[in-house]
Amino acid sequence: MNYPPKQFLFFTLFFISALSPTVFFSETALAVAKSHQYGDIEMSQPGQNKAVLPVIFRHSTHRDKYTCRLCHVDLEFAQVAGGTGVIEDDNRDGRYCGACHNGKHAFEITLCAKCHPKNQTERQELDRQGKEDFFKAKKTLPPARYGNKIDWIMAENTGKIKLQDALPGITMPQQDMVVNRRDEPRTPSLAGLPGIIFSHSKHVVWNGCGMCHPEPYALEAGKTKMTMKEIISGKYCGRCHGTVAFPINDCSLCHSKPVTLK
Amino acid sequence: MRRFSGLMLTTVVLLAAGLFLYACSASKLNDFLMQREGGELSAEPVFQKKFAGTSMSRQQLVQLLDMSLDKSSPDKYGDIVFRERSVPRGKFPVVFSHKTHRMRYTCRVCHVELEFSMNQGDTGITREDNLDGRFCGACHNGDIAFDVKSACDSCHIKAGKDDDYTPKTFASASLPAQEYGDGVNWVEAMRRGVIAPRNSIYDEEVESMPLPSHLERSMLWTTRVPRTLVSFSHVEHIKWLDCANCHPDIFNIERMGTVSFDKEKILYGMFCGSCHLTVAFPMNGCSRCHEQLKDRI
Repeated sequence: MNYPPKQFLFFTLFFISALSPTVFFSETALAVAKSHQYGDIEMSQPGQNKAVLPVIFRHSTHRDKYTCRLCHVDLEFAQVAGGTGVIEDDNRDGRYCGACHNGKHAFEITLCAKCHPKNQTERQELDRQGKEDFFKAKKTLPPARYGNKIDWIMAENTGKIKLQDALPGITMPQQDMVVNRRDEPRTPSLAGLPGIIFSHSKHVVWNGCGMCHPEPYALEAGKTKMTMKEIISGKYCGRCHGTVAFPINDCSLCHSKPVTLK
Repeated sequence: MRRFSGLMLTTVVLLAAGLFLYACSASKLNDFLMQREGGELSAEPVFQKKFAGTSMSRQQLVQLLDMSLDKSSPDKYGDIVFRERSVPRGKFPVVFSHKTHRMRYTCRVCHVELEFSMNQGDTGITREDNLDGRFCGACHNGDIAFDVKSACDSCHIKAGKDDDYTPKTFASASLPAQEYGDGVNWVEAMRRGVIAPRNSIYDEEVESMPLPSHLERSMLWTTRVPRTLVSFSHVEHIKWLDCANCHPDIFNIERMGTVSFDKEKILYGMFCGSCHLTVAFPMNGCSRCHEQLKDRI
């Protein structure tokens, strides 16, 4: 009987490699996204209408006009795609997208095809238009190295973009509270890495308090412990930095102090 | 008797597989994979990866090594022929030569800053992109390099299915030579200062973040074949690449966490094979990673 053990060995090696608990590809794509698509979120549809394709929401066309917290706190948009469950009635009644997209602040939601393409041809046309608009706007804004390749913080600081923090008649303006604007130094756990500075003042412009506290960050300084692995997989800083805010490839934006731990 | 020995072998192999799987499970991972020596910086290896699997026979190893050798002509090594977008539109394919570009720019300039994908056909470059100063057009605008508007036939070259194009002339006389790949030892060229590629297209060059101390030493990995070791240097790679070129998409950032990292998968273009089959030095230069082995030219 012809029984070649060599083949068996190959089969077994294949079997082992297929089953072994591997991490071929990470869950989030940290690396290279196209700058005009950075921050785009594909929204699944909770409704019954399958005749249209999912909405691609572009953060880049919204964050030059409004703060993050206006949508994610006041208008109750979840920070996870599909977590909000927006339905057509909501929009028509002036909630979620419909709060602005009512013909007064922005185009009316009855212009369905602006967000819901019917087929791939319409989708491509929307993408092409979006790309053209993005690069036209990008030329007027300060450059950055990663993400949208736009330095949004600098753009806001220098008045290139004006952020609206409340919708009159729909949301209340933020309470006039004493806000912590300190720079918080943090020490990384690996020797030789430059120290971290977390800037409250840069975050508070966009996020207020409620985007980060008390979840995921406890109010007590230094109480919330995190690792880069957790951040890359979308927790803590990675909730925004990696999907919408500048991605964590730009190491030296946070690791900006001299080396503290040697 | 023969059948019996076959069954025995199957049982033994399956047992080995089971042991391997057990060893790979997350709870055991740390004991299994890592020994790290503390203390100050040195050129000593820091990591040992241990495999519980069996090694292959010498004959299989030779087959595998033969598969991994590059046999293409040095003039065309590193050239990529793009047909995806141009040929259906009635244009000649674009022949891109890596070696004329890596003389002047590091990998990260194009593959991070200019958003060129590492997968062929993924970038989707259009003429509008180029004319608006993106992708090729970021440099090929008449100022830095020849203009995309006028010098069409510099890139769109007639090339048949078997890549029978005339490769670009490339003066490599002043560069340190090697006997495989494109014939140039780029690492040595950079070390000697013969070339000084730019690391950014922006005017102000921002230095990348310094490596944490334990990554400044080269690493020594054990392999599934216990005849050889692999040495890997972060310092040599960071001269050309950005952290994000490799992490976490090709290699995750968990210390020794990429468990399935072996030669078979590298030959399919994963892990090191993402670059070291087509652009970076090919695997003929065995000794560049496996210090005990001889180069196979």
